[in-house]
Amino acid sequence: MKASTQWIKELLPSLKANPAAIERRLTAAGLEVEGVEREADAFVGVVVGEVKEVSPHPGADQLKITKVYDGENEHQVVCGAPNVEVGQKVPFATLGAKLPNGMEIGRRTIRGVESFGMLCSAEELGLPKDVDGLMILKANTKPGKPIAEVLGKKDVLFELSVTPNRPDVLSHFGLARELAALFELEAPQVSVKLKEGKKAAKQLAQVEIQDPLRCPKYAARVITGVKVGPSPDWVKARLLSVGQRSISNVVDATNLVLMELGHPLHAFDLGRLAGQKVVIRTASVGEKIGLLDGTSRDLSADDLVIADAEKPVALAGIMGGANSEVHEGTTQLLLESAYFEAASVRRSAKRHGLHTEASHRFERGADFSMVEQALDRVAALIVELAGGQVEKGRLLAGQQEEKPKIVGVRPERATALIGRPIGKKEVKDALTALGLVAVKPPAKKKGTPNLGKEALWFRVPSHRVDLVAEVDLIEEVARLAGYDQIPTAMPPGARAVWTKGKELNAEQALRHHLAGEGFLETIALAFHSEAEAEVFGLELPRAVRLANPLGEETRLMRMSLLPALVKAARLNQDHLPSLVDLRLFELGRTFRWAEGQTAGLPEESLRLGVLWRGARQPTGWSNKAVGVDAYDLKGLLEGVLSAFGIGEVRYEAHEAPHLHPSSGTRLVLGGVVLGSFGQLHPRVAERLGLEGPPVWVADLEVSALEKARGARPQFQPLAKFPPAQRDLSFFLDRHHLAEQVVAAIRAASANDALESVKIFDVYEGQGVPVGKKSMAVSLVFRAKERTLTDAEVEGAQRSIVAALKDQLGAEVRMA
Amino acid sequence: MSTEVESAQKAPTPEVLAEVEREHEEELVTAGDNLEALNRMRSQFFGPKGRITSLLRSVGQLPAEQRREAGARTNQLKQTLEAKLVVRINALESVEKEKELRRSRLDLTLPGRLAHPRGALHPVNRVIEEMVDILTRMGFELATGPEVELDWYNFEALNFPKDHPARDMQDTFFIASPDGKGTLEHVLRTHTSPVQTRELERRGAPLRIIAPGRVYRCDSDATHSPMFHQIEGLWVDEGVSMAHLKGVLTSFINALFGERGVRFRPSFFPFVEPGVEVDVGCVFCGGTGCRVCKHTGWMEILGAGMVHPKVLENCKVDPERYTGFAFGLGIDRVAMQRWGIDDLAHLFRSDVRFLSQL
Repeated sequence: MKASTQWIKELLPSLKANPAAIERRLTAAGLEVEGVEREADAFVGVVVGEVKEVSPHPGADQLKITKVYDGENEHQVVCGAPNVEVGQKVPFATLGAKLPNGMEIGRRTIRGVESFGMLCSAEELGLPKDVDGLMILKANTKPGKPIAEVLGKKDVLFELSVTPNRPDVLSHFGLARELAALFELEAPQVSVKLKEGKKAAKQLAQVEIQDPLRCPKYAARVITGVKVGPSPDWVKARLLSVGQRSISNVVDATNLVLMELGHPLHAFDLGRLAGQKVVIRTASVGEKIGLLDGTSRDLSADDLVIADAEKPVALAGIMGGANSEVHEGTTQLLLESAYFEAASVRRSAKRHGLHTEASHRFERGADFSMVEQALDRVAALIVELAGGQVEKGRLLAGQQEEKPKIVGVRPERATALIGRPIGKKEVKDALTALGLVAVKPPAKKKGTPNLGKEALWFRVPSHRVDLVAEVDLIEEVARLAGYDQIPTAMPPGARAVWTKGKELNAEQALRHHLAGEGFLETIALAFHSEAEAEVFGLELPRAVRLANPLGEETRLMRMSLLPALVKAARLNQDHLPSLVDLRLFELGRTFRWAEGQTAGLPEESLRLGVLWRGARQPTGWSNKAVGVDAYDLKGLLEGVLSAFGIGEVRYEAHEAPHLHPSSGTRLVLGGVVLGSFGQLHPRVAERLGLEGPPVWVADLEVSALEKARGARPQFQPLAKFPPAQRDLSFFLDRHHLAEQVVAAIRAASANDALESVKIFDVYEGQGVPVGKKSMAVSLVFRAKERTLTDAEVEGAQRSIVAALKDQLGAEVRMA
Repeated sequence: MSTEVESAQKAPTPEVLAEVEREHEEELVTAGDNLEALNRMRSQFFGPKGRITSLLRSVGQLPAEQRREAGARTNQLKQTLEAKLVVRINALESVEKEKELRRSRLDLTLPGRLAHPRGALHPVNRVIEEMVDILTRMGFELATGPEVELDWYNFEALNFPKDHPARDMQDTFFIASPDGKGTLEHVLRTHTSPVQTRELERRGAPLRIIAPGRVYRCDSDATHSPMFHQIEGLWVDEGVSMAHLKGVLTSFINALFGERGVRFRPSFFPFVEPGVEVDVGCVFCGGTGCRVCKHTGWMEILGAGMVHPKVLENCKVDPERYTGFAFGLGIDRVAMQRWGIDDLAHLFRSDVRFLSQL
């Protein structure tokens, strides 16, 4: 909210603090001043100038060359205003000045004549236009005086960030009331002098509430004989200073009182209300209303409206209707001041996508006892601005008084919660300053908390809708003294915990492992578009969909980390120069509904996504680019698994829509799938616009890794006896897998001391029969307690050779 | 050669030996630092046909009673002279070898060969790890909760009533029902605070937890991303007061930003009462006022407060027995400030030029 300090001080004349002190105090009390605007800042560099000479411009009839005195020097200024005359005092924008319309004043040459500044019209200074041409100041104004001073532009405006619990400070009066408490001044009062006419208002109009729950109170007044027209300048200027446009004297009066007292008001053209009455009721289905903003709305049975005898004429607490709008010919007014239930206004405002000054306040809670005061104040102001006669009496419907709100507070509870001694006196003084009234303890009954004998009880004024429980009063006491009065202390020692969750440990370990392998961590927005999910062949029926996405890109919660990584590859490929050597990873959750799930939360799975493409190693003067292949990626994953102490994982061929059939593989451990990897399917790469080297991707489930984490490795005694190494080379059918070879070798030497098997060569091509491949393995034998004899090693080797031949048809070429 | 032959015929008398020694000295001077000359000298004197070798051999021709003495004398001389020569040769040879090594000097201004490029953790996660380290050392335990959350935990239990404007503070993404017919009571969590209500309900008091993670708001512009990060803290126990809130948060902020001043202001969040907004002395200007801090000298860093009794009640914790404080702060802004990142969008765009420079 924008607030004027001048206005506040008019309402609280005893407030002498300067704007900076007010700003500090408000912020310290929880009413944060987010920005400060000095009116004078809009006129920096503009001073009073005295016109000393006027001569014609040799190059243009409409222009004149003037000499202007700024209190110290004379300046030559080219001027195009028709009314410039010698001796005038005018606003003079000196070099470097910046006008409210954004214009910066520099030295210029106009039709061959130099000009050092500018003489201004009222419009150029952002003021209401008075005459054509220059703004003429009083003859006795002193040249050189800043124009802001001459115009009385000395207000300081605050941009306040008001939290939703404090509707009571959404007005200048509310702020004055709060500042009176903060600066220990007497609270301001609303005083209205209203002269009523002789005719009884109730003979001119009627009000009726049909929905007392949503509108518990409605007050109205009738004014006759008004003359609608423009507002005087002071009203325009005041509204403008707090960011409001002037409309007409009547409407401006309602807005001005809204800004002053914080209570929303509305003026109907009484002549346009059918049956001279208003009814507060819910709309019927099918009813429509045309609003002041020019839109037409279909109403629902949950919309509260103000209607006349025939039709809705306003959306209650939100906006008036066009059909009852005050216009130039209006002479009779029905002024509305009402109390609408917050939730009711909010539901309607949300449904219609409307947010107005009125709805903003009603949604947060209006002040029940301000209804009549605001009504009288606006009536008086309208008569002042637009003439006419306030007719006798208020038209009232609904309850007159709100049920008093009594809240208790225990000083010892305040002491315990705040952490500094808070006594009875402090509680009483602080709350009284805020307008609460000490009362006797209420009679015990159901619903009131039993706070014991020591509690103090208060009646909460109707404007403090946020004070409902003990803790709210405790906050007021703490807030008024300021949080800097609270000591800083460490909590008493309690049981120590010192643990992180298992999954988070795993996440951190993976993150550091991959960064150590040269991968960059990314964080992507956790959404997919439908199209993306489709390209990756994700299971769309199980997608978690947003009901209110921001656009295509945020339609689904993501089901895989890979689309974002692939999109990142595309983005980096588009750089100049193109970046195709990429190592990226992300740790994040994926979302999906379980099959047929209808209740509860969707599944969330923390996953690791990896993308690798381009050179295996950074290239340079000494090494040429070698592209990453499936075995680089597998090696990376083996490293990850080994960091988790996971061995014995099976690598099974895996068909997935996003993986190339030549390399799609999944990692399986004891029947549990840990994840998958492989080359991104060329179709996917193409559809996402990837060019250049193949893209390799992997996807692991972090919780599965954590569950599979191996036991802490135990130390094994170092081998005392020498190993024997034998190499074998053989041909076998190319469809046999390395896994089968190793399994056959291990099985054949189950009782021998085979320590390790390592495949060190695989070859197809020249010298190898068609349909076959050549493979070479290195075998290491070792016994724990003795040196193996040659005969033993050879025996073991023979059974391995035999097994390879029998099981895989391998022909050993070399031993 | 003629000298060799001549000397071979001479017996190793003291005079002869003195003569040989003198010659050795002279030649040593002549050879100087010439390694070749010194090696030649070595064979002239000590080689198989060298002068001293010949003199040793001639000892055998002396009468038996002279042999022992002449032999000892000659050997003595051989050792002395050869040692002198060898010391000189070794010294020169090591200088030569050193020169040889120097000739193979590499150009190490050429760039090194990397096994792999430098990897990097995402700045947001680096800040999370740092915060988690500080807070776990203060006795907080890590907790997590779902990102697709029920309205109850995200709003209702946290004292955000339905149709209340406090919900406007957080633009919410809602979840469509799986059959596509309507909207569920599910939301994308708008803050990490539902972890408070979940854990309080599940584990009761006393409780000390922190919960970092992703949160979502239906908002996207230059300063807002539909997804960002927060960390939540909750400390509930008997006798916890606002003084303890100030103590813990002051220590946390000092550890994170250095001691640059902390300011506590009243504010409002539905799930705390009293509510607090915490500012840290501006890290850009040090508190003197600059554009970043809007000339206030302070940067808003976190929201906090004493857990609202209603929240405790909603989680079946007795608010008369237990009190506590909660806090929450945005991580992304801390990361941006720490590395001078000027645009939030960089964080989530996966641009390698961004990720690899921090």
